[in-house]
Amino acid sequence: MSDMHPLSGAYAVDALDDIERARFERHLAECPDCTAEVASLREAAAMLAHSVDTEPSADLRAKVLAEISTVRPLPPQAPAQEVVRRQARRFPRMVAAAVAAVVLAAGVGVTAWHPWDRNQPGQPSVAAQVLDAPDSKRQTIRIDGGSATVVHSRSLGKAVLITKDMPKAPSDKVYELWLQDAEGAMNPAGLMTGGRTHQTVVLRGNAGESTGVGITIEPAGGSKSPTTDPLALFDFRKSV
Amino acid sequence: MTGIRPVPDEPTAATTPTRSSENQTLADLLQRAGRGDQEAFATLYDAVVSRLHGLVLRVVRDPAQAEEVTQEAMVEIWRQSARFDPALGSPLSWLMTIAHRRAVDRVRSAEATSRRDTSYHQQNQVTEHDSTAEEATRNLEARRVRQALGSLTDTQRGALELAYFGGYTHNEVSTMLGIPLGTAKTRIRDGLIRLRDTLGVDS
Repeated sequence: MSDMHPLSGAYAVDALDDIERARFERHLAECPDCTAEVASLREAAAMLAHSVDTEPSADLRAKVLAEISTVRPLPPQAPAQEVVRRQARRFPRMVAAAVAAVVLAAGVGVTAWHPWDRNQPGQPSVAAQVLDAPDSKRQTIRIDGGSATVVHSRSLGKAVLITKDMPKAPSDKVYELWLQDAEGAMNPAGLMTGGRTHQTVVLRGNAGESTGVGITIEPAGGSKSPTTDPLALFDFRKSV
Repeated sequence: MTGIRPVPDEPTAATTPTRSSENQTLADLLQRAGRGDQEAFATLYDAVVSRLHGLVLRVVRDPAQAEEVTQEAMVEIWRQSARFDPALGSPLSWLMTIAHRRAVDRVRSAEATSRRDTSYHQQNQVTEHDSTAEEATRNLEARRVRQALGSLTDTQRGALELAYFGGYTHNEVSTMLGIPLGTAKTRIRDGLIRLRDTLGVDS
C-alpha cells in the first residue's frame, strides 16, 4: 500500500482529474490490492444506478441500433494500438465515437488509457514518467470546447500532450506539434488527429532545452515548419 | 409448507439469484454482441438502457445532452463488448463504468455546462427525479440501494453523491464542502466501502 491507496474511491467514481487518473493507473498496475479494491468499489457504485432509473426517449433505441450497424466491434484483448490504427483507417467516422482512437505518426509514442483495460505491469511509460517526475510542470489551454494540457519535465527532457475532446482536424489535415527552442524556432515534434477523445502523446525531441510547445493545423503528413497560426501556444514559463 | 416461499427480510445481495442470473444473461449478451450479433445487443440495450440513461441524466442534467451521451456510451459498449472480461468484474459494473465516464467527460469538458446555469433545466430536473424516484422505489433493488445509502453517514453520502452523481472531482468536492482534500478522499472511499459491504457486492 502507498499514499495512492486512499484515492481508490475517488478513482472508482471518476472523481480524479486526468493527471491524477493517469498516475493512479500507473499505481494500479503494480498494486493488486488497489486493483481488487477498485473493482469492488465499482460494483458498489454501479448499484447506485438502480436508484435513478430513467427511460430515454423511444427513438434513441433506433438511433443506437442504426449506428452500431456501421461500427465494427473490436476483437478481444488485441494490442490496443494496432487495432486502433486499423479502425481509424477503415472507419474514419468512428474516430469521433471512440474513447481513445489515436492515429500514430512515425516516432510519436502514444498511450491510450481505458478504464477497463487490463493493466500492464512493467516499466512505466515515458508519459507516466513525465507525469510522475518531481519537476514536472503543467499548463492547460482550452480549445474549442476541449482542452489540451502540456506536462513537461526538464530533468527527463520530455514533454507530454494530453488532449480531451479536441475537435477533429479538418479532412486532409492533421494537428502538428512543435517544440519551441530558445531562439523561438519551432521544431516538428509529431502529428496527431483530433476527435472527441483523450489522447496522450509524448512529443518527439528534447524538451529539456525548449521554451514552449505549439499546436498548428497542417496538411496531412505534416510540415517541416508551421504554415498556419498556432491553435495553442504553451509557454513553459507559465507552466505550474 | 413447500408451497410457501418465505420472504427474506434481509436481502442477501450478491448471492441474490436475480442479480447473478441477470449478470449471467448480460455477460452472454455481451459475448454475442462482441461477435457482431446486433439482435443480442438490442436485447442488452432493453435490459440496461434505463439504468444507464438514469445515471447519465443525473450527471449531465440536460436531457438532450444526456441522450447524446447515452447513445455514445451504448455505441462504445458495442465496440468494446468483446473486451468485457468477467474475471475483472460484473457486466453491470463494466457497463456503468463506461457510461459514467462518458457522462463525467461531457460535463467536465463543456465550457458552459447546463447544470451550472441555475435556470430551467435544473428545476425541471427536480420534478422529473421525484416522479422517477416514486417509480423506482417499487423496485426491490432500488429500495435496497436506498436503504444502503441510508446506512452511510450524512457526510459520506454527501461527498459520494457529489462525486458520483454530480460528476465533480474530489478536489471540487472538498472545495464545495469546505473540507480538506484528504477528508474528501476518505469520505468518498469510506462511503463506497460501506455501501459495498451493506449491499454485499464484491467483484
